[in-house]
Amino acid sequence: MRRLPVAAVLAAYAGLVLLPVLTPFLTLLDQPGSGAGPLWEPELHGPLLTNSLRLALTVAGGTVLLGIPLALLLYRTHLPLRSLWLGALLVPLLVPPYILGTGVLHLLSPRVAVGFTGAAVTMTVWLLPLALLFAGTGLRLVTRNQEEAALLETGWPGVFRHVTLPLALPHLLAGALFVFVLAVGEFGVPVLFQYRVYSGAIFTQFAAFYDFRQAVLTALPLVLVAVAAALAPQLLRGYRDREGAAEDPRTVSLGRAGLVGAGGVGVVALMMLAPLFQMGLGVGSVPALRSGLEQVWVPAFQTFGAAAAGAAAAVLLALGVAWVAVRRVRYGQWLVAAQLPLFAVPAVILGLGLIRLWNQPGWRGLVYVSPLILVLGYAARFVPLLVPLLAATYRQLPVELDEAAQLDGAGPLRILYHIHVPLLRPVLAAAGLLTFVLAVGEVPISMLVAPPGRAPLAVRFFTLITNAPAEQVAALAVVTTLLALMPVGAWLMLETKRVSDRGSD
Amino acid sequence: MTPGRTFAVLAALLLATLAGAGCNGKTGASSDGAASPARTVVIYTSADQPFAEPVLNAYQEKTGVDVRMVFDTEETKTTGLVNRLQAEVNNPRADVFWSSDPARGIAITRLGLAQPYDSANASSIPATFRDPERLWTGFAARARVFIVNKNLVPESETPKSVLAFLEPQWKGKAALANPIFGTTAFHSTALFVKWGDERAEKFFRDLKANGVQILDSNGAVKDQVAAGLIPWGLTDTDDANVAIQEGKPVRMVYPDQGAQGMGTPFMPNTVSLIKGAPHPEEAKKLIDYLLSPEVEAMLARSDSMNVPLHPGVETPPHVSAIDQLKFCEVDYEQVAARVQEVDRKLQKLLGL
Repeated sequence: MRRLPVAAVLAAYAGLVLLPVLTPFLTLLDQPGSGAGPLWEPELHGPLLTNSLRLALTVAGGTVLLGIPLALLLYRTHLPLRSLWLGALLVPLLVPPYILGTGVLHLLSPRVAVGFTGAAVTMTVWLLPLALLFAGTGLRLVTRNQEEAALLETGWPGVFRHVTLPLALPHLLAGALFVFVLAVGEFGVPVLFQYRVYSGAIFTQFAAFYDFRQAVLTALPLVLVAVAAALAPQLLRGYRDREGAAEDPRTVSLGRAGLVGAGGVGVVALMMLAPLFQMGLGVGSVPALRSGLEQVWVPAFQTFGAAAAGAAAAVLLALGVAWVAVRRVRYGQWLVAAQLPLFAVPAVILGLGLIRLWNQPGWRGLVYVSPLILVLGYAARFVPLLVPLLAATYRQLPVELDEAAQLDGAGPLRILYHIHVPLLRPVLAAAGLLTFVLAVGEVPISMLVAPPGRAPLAVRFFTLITNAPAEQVAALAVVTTLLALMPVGAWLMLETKRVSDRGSD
Repeated sequence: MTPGRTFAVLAALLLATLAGAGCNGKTGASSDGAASPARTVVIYTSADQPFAEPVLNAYQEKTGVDVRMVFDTEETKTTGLVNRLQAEVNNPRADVFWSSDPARGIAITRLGLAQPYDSANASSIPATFRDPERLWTGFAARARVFIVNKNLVPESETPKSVLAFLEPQWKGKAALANPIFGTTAFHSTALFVKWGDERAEKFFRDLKANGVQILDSNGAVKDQVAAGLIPWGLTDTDDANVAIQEGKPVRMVYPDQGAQGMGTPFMPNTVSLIKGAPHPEEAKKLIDYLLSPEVEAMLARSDSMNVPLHPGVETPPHVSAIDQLKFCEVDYEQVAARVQEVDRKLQKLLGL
């Protein structure tokens, strides 16, 4: 009986996440030797993979180098206007990277932008918010009493360096890995800057040769790269999961230096928003924006609904999987590590897997033609992203709380609901917000499965961008960004109130 | 709150958001109220939404049929509708596929996704733009054109032929879209068919050596020429005309129109009836409408500037009739049959 919840979670995970991702690979077995080309062509694929790795490592390194100090300032100090800066810094994640790239292309000189530089700058701007969220989550879950003990010996800079950052390492690593995987699989931005990458080879199989089998085979090296990336932390010497206290850590007063810090963060935020200002200029006028709004309010409502439902479903399922991996099974770290390769599977392959699974006669077909298919698509896509984040946070919860509850007769579900969820609430909210934002901007899966006549906003942007009036396209991009900003703003307000209510040092 | 009550609240929220997401969001003007839920047709189209949507909305208003539209993107931005059609083959959801170029239109017939339909409105369309097996029918053609920045290229130096890509004066100063996708792939393959493989391969090798920039799409060519980043490039009539209508400093040139010129490729839109279409009768009526002179006139008047294939269709002054231009005569089936083979050659040759 006690194993039933674990079995239910794993069954839901297998059905909703594993099957859609793996189905395209499994169908390859049905057609052995059906005319597929070589898996690896060194002359063609070698340089492309080298470019992809170079770009992804640069972006991952850049986001970590920028993300850690920003996260320290925004999450652990009394930086003036920190909620404003945090909101501003999260905005680029709300925008499809291709749009950001278009803004960067117009801002920088083509001689500078075209090629590696433009692609790296755009993707760093796009993914820095993700690294920031992971880093901030890790910094917020550090043991208060360990920091306080260290304060007896050294000041806050020393505490951050020797205690806080090492304790936050699991989250920092998780963030860096996901940035790496997202960067190595991105296609649209490198193409925009004429920088040839490996994901282009996968895309070419789909879009030029309509060769599904070859496209899936070509994706395998990317998945193997993600497997290697996922295994790296497991082999890292000195990497240990630490358990922490359940209290909020202290925030540090910066005094007058806070103004300098706020200025610096503000400059970074403005630089990250510059491409969007460039895009906003295209709106032209308030009447143009109003006209754009009138055309999209129904799709906006539909997009909001599907993204919200998808985010809720993804967070619930990811919480269950993280709970199973950390608290209920042995060797759960391998279940967590397996999420990265799953996330590395290109979204278009996942989309085609969803079609093959759900576009069937009977009840599955009813699901396929309903907006529920988008919800399932978002859940399948983003659960692998959330599980490591939630698992890393779970590990920080002291086991003693579970043991005390068990002594009192509580079962695993009651412990999960009454102890874990309240302690994890801030992270669950952040995870839901992240998923909502990513779902609003999601294109490959939506293009493939959105029911006819119900294309989400991000898809509408791409179907209109080519030859629609510039004001209409810009208005659509602004509406999409504002739509995703609404829950971000609400979350920031709640966070600010929560931290204020608890007080600080 | 107990776990059960929490679950109930969450489930209610989920259902409410799904209900909101399930609101019938027609992608255009609403119907005239005469629509019956039973009269529905689903069309997948790779024609640009700003041009296709008004045509389909007009049909919806005229007939009261609920037209469910799925639009495509430029081919280098997403994998597109052909892959969706292929994946849905065992349980088709689309009734009609409207392709903006013959390559994709013929591709779905080669993939076995279409069924024959002989529309009455197809009879006056020249045979060269119709499949003998009636799996696809062409209408409202676009042409391949140069878009030239007026500030960077004087009238007297305007390029007149695709061979201008190889001229030393244009080294590093011209652009075209990725030749393994979309209409550029069709154009590239047409050159292989017209010139033969040896000459065509040499052309593309020399093109690469002359520093011609390969951008991700025809739209990108339009944008960069209009912005003055590149003096001229090869694109489609709709892209060039949109830039002109937006007041950009560009002119449009039909290449290879001289006495010795081979003409410029014409790319008709194509329409096909999907095999296993869930609403076949409504699909046929929609195809009849799309193949009508009325629709060709609408598309000619739009910024897409399509050239009507029906004789005698009235067009705006700036839209040339088909007999006023020299078009590159090719067998569309032959070109479509070789597109993927040529794509693989160009992929290796140009390092794409």
